[in-house]
Amino acid sequence: MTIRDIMEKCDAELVTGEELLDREIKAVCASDLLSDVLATEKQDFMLITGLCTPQVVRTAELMGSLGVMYVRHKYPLQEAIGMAKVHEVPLICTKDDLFETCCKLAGCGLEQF
Amino acid sequence: MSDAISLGTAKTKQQDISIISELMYQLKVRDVMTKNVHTVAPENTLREVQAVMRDNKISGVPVASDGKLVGIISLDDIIRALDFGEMDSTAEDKMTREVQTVGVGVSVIKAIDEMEQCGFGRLPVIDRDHYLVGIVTHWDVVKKLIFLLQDVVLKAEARERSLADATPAPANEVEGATYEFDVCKDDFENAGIAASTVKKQLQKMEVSPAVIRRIAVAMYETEINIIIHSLGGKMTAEIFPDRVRVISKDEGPGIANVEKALTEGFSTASAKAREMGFGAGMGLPNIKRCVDDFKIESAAGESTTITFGVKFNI
Repeated sequence: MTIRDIMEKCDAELVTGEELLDREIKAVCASDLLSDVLATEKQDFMLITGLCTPQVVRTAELMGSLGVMYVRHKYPLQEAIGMAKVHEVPLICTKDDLFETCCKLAGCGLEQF
Repeated sequence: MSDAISLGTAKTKQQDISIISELMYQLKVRDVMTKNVHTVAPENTLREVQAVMRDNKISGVPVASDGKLVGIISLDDIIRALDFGEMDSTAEDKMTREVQTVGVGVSVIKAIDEMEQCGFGRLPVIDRDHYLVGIVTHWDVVKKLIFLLQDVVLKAEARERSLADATPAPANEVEGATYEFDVCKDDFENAGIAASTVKKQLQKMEVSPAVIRRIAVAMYETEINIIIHSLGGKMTAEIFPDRVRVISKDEGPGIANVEKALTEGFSTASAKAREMGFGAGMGLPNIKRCVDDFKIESAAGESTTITFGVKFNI
């Protein structure tokens, strides 16, 4: 499913990267622990997290993550937004928590490893 | 004005202070206030005051005498005067004399606090000699914050772009190119710059994305390790036509038990590192997992040297 589809499913709003929302997402990595994200084997994935430091975007960039969704009304720091623009990492955010967000995305074909 | 605002890009900056609070503390009332304030004189009638308010679309007006603030007339005062047929009274007769004001050098956060406490949406601003120099509203603060936040985004963009552009192409791909990076203790802000720079270089060389990701993750984990656990260090990445070799040497204090440090889940990271999402004891094992050859040399009280290599054709 595309990032646009995920936004609709999770009632998420766009932070930056509108032109990148048609990227096809095949998996999700949901974690507040960047160490875990760095250890994932997943490809073509979207990172879902409650952390909003610029390191989230750096991690997404280095892992080739196709986008980042922030949960629990978290909004990334402005530095993170600037970094995301340069590295073309779309950022979206939702009011739901991590568990609710994952529940909404369960059964959408994103469970591949 | 924005030149006077330090956006806290110092390497020691505490990331856990939100940038908005930081700006609110650093911004002073003088930076956000409206300077050309409409005022009335004490001898003006309320009818004249009402005309000033209507013409300027404002809901309150300070009363000034020789430039000094002596009172304020609000919309409520006008409505009351209309009710009681007192529109020909003077401002001096009906104004509120105990005016809540704010000093020109006070932080915006304090001004907002004072507005909340007294329930007004605006506060007259006075200088040290009690002269009226401006007026500050919630909206003035919001406008300025939006402007400054946009500025932060643009600066971050410019910084990332300059890092990307500064990456030199290998002088000679056959002989390889060497990149050196200084990595400082606790400098989370710049974590990943070495990895990101080398990643861009490898993309130019059209190395496969899967291999680039392994190299980027190993380098990023290594940077994070230096930032969290050491007194600082240096990373060197040598790019050859068929492989990358990375050497990381820190300035101590060394690892007492290297075998334990290589165990998944074993961590001595600080609370700060954990707050940033790191320090789960996965760093060294993850580096080992990503690379083709790995060597670590360390002892308590000494520096730690990590050397690893990744081949492109695997």
